[in-house]
Amino acid sequence: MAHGTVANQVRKWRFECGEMTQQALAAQVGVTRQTIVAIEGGKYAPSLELAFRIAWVFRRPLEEVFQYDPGGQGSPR
Amino acid sequence: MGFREMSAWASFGTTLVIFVPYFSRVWFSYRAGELDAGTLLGSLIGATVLQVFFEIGVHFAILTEAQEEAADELDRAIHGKAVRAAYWVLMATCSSLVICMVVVLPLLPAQFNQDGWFSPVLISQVFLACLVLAEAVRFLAQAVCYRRAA
Repeated sequence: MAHGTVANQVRKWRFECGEMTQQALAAQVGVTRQTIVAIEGGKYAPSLELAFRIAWVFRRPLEEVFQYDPGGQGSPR
Repeated sequence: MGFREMSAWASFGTTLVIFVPYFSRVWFSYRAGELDAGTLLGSLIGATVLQVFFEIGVHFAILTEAQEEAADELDRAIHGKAVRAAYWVLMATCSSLVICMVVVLPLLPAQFNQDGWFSPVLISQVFLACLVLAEAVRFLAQAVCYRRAA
């Protein structure tokens, strides 16, 4: 089975939402700041529920915050 | 570095600091023929109590640096990964030992068992070492996963 990657625009949308801090976002979605750091760095793919919660905080559709890349590393296969 | 990562490194460190000398002592006592159940039980209780005190002390020190937060899904994912790693280590070491004791050792010439390899006291210590090794792997896997996610 091919392994894709989940890209995200969390950093960008934090900036767009009044330069929200990682700590503030973490508090709003109910996780630790380390989890937000890991998601932004692409080192952890959040659960569907957490992804929806993050998108909801930014008032954006899920696909504007998270994108699935089936080829991984941003390159289509 | 977050509380849980520091805690994992600290627990890994205290496990090594307590149990490496403990097993070294057991081994040298065994080689010197001074290994008996009473001494062993005393040492084990001492090591366990010492580890509890070390853990409490180190975690108080960590709390001055970082605040403990409720576990979230990343913490649970890391915990699960670390437990799986420890489980495989425990299974591999224990199965290897059982195979070694049941299959390999009886096939060896008698002089190899003159030192009492089948002594229940020694075997219990080898299984304890497997358990401690699995715990150390669990703490190390947790710490490494947190470091990678940082």
